[in-house]
Amino acid sequence: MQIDLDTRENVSVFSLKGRLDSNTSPELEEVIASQIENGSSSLIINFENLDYISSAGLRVILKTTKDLKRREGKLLLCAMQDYVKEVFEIAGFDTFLPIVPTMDEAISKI
Amino acid sequence: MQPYLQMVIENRLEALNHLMAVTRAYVTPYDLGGKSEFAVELILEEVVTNVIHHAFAEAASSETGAGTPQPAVAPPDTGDPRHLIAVRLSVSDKQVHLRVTDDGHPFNPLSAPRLDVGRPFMERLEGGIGIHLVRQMMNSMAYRREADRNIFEIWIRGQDGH
Repeated sequence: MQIDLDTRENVSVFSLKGRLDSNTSPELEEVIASQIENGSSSLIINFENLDYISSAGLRVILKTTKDLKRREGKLLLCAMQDYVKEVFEIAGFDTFLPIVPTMDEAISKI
Repeated sequence: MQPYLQMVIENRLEALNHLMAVTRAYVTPYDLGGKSEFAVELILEEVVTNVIHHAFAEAASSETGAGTPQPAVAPPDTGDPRHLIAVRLSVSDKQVHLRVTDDGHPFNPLSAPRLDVGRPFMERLEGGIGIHLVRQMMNSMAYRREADRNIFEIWIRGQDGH
């Protein structure tokens, strides 16, 4: 998996490419944790080029949501492919997390 | 096409990458549809990851598994390379049959507590999500303990129209 981090006007945008699975999720967890540690509290995760996610990836999202809540931060998820979005729905994550269709919408809502 | 795919991997997460790549290559020619292919990969990853994380833990007793809630955070790999996990995959009539065999502690994934998806998000535990996804995405599954081994079988149907 490739993670591109782009920080603009206090918003950290993580663009994921490839597969978020048991092997790659610790890396995302680390990158996000270090951004939060450095004071970032507005996060967008762009799923546009993410082809696959498993429960290991969902756990990172759950943990990030909890971490940000404690700091009164904000997390937005955007541009998910159908099968990836379905995994969020099956796990019941979609009713609790703001998932928007496009990156532009995420930027305007954060 | 090969009648079935059989692989034996060590109980390390790193071994998953190759397993998943070989599985993808095996399943693709059957044209099961993107959704079913995704489900096969996800189910295989969840089941094998579960075995790696839980079946060989030194501290685990023989009662581990049945009825015991999974820990909130997945424990790290045991680092014990002495165990092997056998995976067998076949496709017939657009249905995938997956069988995962390990020699770990008795663990019946079917007895794992159900995930409460309606629970407030902030109270959600990080464990149990994987087996929940498996339950929702498979068509049927069966567990048996035989000759000191866990044998977990799952059937996944290809999409209609494919």
